[in-house]
Amino acid sequence: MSNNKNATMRVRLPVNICFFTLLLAFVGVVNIASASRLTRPSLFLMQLLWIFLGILLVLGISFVRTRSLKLIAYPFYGIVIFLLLLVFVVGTSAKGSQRWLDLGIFRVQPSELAKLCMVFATARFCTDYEVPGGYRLRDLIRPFNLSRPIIFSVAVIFLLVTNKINTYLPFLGEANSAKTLLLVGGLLLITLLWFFLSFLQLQKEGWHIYQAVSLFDVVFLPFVLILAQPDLGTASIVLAICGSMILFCGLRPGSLIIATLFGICIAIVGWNFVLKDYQKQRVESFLNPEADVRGHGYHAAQSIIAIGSGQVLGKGFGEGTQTQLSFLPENHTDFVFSVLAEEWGFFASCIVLLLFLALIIAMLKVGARAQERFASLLVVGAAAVIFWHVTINVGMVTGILPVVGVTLPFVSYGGASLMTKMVAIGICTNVAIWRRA
Amino acid sequence: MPFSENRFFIAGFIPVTVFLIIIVRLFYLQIIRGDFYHDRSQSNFIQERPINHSRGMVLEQSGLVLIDNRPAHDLYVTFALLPDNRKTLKQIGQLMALSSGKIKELDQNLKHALETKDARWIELGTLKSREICSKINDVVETESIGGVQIDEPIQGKTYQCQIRFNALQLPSKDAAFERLRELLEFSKEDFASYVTSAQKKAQGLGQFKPVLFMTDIPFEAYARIEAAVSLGLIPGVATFDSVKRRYIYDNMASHALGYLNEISAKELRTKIDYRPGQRIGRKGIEKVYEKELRGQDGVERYVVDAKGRRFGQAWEQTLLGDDRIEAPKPGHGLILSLDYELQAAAERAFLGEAGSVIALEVGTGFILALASFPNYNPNAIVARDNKKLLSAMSKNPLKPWINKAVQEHYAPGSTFKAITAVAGFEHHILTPSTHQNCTGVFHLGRASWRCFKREGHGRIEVVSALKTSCDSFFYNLGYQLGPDRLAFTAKLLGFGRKTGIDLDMEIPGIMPDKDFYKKRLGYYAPGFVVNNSIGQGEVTVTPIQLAVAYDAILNGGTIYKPQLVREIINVQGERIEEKKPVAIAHLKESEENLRLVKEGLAYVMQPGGTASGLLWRYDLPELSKWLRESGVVIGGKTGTAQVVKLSKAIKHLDPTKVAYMQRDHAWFVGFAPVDNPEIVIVTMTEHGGFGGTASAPVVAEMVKTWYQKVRGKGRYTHLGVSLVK
Repeated sequence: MSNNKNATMRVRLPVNICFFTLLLAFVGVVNIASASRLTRPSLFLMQLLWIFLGILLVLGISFVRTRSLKLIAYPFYGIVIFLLLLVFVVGTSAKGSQRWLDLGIFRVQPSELAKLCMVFATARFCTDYEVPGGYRLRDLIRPFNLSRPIIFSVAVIFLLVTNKINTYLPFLGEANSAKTLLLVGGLLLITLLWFFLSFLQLQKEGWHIYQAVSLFDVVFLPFVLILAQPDLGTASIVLAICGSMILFCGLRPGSLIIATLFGICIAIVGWNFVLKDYQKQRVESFLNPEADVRGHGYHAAQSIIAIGSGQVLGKGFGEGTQTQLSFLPENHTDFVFSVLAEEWGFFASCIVLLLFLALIIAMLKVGARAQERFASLLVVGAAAVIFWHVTINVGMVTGILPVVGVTLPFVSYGGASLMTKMVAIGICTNVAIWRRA
Repeated sequence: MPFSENRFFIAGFIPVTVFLIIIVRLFYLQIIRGDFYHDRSQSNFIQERPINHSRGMVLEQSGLVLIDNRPAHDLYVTFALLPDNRKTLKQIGQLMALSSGKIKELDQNLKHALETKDARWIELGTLKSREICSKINDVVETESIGGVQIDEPIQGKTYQCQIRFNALQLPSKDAAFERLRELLEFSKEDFASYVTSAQKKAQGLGQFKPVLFMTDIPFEAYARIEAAVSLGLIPGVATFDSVKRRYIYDNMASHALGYLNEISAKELRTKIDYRPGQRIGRKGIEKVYEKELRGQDGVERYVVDAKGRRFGQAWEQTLLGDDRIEAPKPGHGLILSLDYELQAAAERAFLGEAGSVIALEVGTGFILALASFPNYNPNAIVARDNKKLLSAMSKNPLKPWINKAVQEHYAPGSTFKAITAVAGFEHHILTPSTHQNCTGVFHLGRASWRCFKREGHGRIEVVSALKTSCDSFFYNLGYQLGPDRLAFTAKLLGFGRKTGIDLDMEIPGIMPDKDFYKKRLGYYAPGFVVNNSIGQGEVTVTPIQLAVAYDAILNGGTIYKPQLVREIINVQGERIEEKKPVAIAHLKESEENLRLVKEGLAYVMQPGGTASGLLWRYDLPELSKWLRESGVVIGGKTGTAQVVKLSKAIKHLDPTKVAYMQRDHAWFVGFAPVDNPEIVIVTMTEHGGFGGTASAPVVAEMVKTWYQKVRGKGRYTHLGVSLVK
């Protein structure tokens, strides 16, 4: 770190990344112009304005030192958590979920910010908390952190003070029965044992912040808050991004297997108890889109028809019947790839996908050349943001994945989504520029 | 370097793999399945509207129209547009700015008053504002809402208006239906069922669509309703033009012509080119020639967006091109071989209650008349109020639904002797000079069969045997032939199999041979063929089979397929197809032998013949006179089919002394002229007793019509020159 002061800023923007990004943004403008040709003909101008603002944002981020980005990681995290909580209090609902914060001049979607803040927070956490040989599952969860028995004992005390244990657990029978006493005694014993184990860990490892917080906590807090909005698409993207970064840092094989099994269990439990009906319907309609063509499978089915009917060379700009006759839903935002595939055909779709691939690989190359763990992880996170958005979006419009509201980076219309991805690009340019010479 | 290059390389491998999968998916969707999805996208935006056309007409052979189409008017009701008293009340309540609670209360009052038929005026409220009062007054007057009263009592200087309503006078659905009923001049009971069935169709979203209320309303009612609609008196009611099939001569040839009916939901699944509500031929010509008569609907295609709105015409041109409109192909017309005069004569002259008459052109197989009794009126069957008629017809023991000419089989009785004789010649057992001695009884082993003439006919050859209808001669001949040889010739002549007539549900009858008995009874006894040789026993025939077989005997040995349609014409009246006689089989034997059989049949109405009584029928003096004086000789054969097996001694019972259902069936097969037959007529009078009495007069009457009105006139006499080129 001694050379940090000597780090000279060599103004050499990574040209390939910028080129790919602008090309993709241009593809977006063309398709937005076609999709909104008859309904809102000036929409592509708005998108051009957003792109211009995005470029400014990229430049802005590029000139901040990478070290400063490391410093703002946790404060940024804190602000986003606050905003996510605020959404539940004063948020604006849209389509059955609370996602927006109205700030008067413009609206903020904290879950969109969360994708970015998680890149920063995860990168920061993984930089500071390193386990040689790769993380084990218990390094990620840290079950014997002191915070765990404290929270548990608070819950137990709450049960005892309110004396409502019999109300919550009716099978125990009458209050103060032998069963109840046995249970309370058992709970107290577990609490004591847990405290004991926590102190053992404390003695062994000494005091540090990770005795209170684990990576698991950092990731799960925003995840749960977004899931509760409810916004399954963003929540799963957040999880995927963080997961990718942790995986990149290194997870031991045994832990990987257990984590996978655990994930499957969670999916089963989640399907039965957590997912809302509309989310289940989306998944069901994904598994069998033809069964419900007029209902929830409608979007998926129409999107597939649009893509398939584009065939090799497409129907031409402004000639896509699925797009122009509004059979394709939300054709300038989530389903913009279907517009592309319908009007420009298979080859153009492949070219756009290859552009994304080139962009992601260029980003990873920047990461590979970074000198610091934090910078590397930041870039990997940024690449993960782009990768997961493209995969989930194209996956859902081609019927490989269920329909969740995820946009296609740089191509879909929308300021919030574009800004997020521009920040990701900004991270890469930043790291590329501030790389030690 | 915090992470190794290798790690980034592996990380980069993941997006490569994933995007490859996506590209494979795109390849599958866009290239492998591209055509399929292209069609799918087209069916998304292409809406098709059928262009209707009329069904082909059906004419008889001289060109008289038997079936055509007439304009009709169907009545539709859109429930959502009907007046609603609760809505009206709410509307006025809102104008008066009443609270929603008050409006609810008024709604309850209205409901109560309607239930109790309370005709009192109910207070809506009092208003102080002159403006609102005049506004309400305007609404009430412009929308002609009855049952709302606005009073302006003068109380001091302040303005005040009082609004009251009468529950029974407010415009309501019931009142609208009542007005409609009066316009249609229907009784209350009849009308109620229409209202309930329409209400059923109008549930849910159906209330916003016009629902078919009544088909084919009378023209006077149509005129009254149209007048009321144009005055805006009955909102939600509309009439639409439609086309109804018309059977011009009502009952005439009903079984041959058949009728149309609405296609069922089940049939729609297999018949893809039909739409709900369309009609399809159910019986007779209408069914068999459905394809020709129906033609093909045209299609107009246009472009719609996702909400079903029609899109711009310019796009329609580019997307759909020149095949946007496909013109309909109108149905073809049919010229039947039926002759109006002969058909009318058959139906007029038929004496029994049930049975059938068939007239065949000798040497072609074309059917000049085909009647089955009792018949029905196809117009009534497809009419609106047909339930009673249909159930009465289904319960009728005389089975009016059945076309007895092709769907019913009977023992042929003595008419079969001619066939036995032909079989004898065919197998060289019989020669013109083969004589047999009729002693009045035929012995076979211990069994014996009686000739109807107890004293016997003495030594007799085939012509005399046919003339006198000697049973013994044919017992013996049949025995010599055996069952298989008799069945062989009979089957060649068309018995025991379908004739192939262009009518539906023809049955084959039974022509037993040895195998038949072995299958049915497990054994064969030589006596069976003895019975069959005179048309008793197990042998059964349909009237059309008998007509075809006699045609073959008379025309020199060719078995023709019977046909009802002579020509198919297009909508302009140009001939598209002319049906030719279709020969199915030929008899081997010489025409000389067949002439002998014909000779044996020629004396049936001569003095001494079995139908000679017809020459002096006191109940048919004109016919008898014509037969005696015209010089026309009718040949033929009587036949009696026993319905109830009685003892052999009393073979034929006096028909007047037996209950109707136990009387014998009466056959008569006649032809004329005797020397060179042109027409062969089969009449079967069910339970008619003796053929010569019950059935022969029908044949005679038709022959008379043939000579007086049909013969030599040629076809198309009623057609304009331009119709057939």
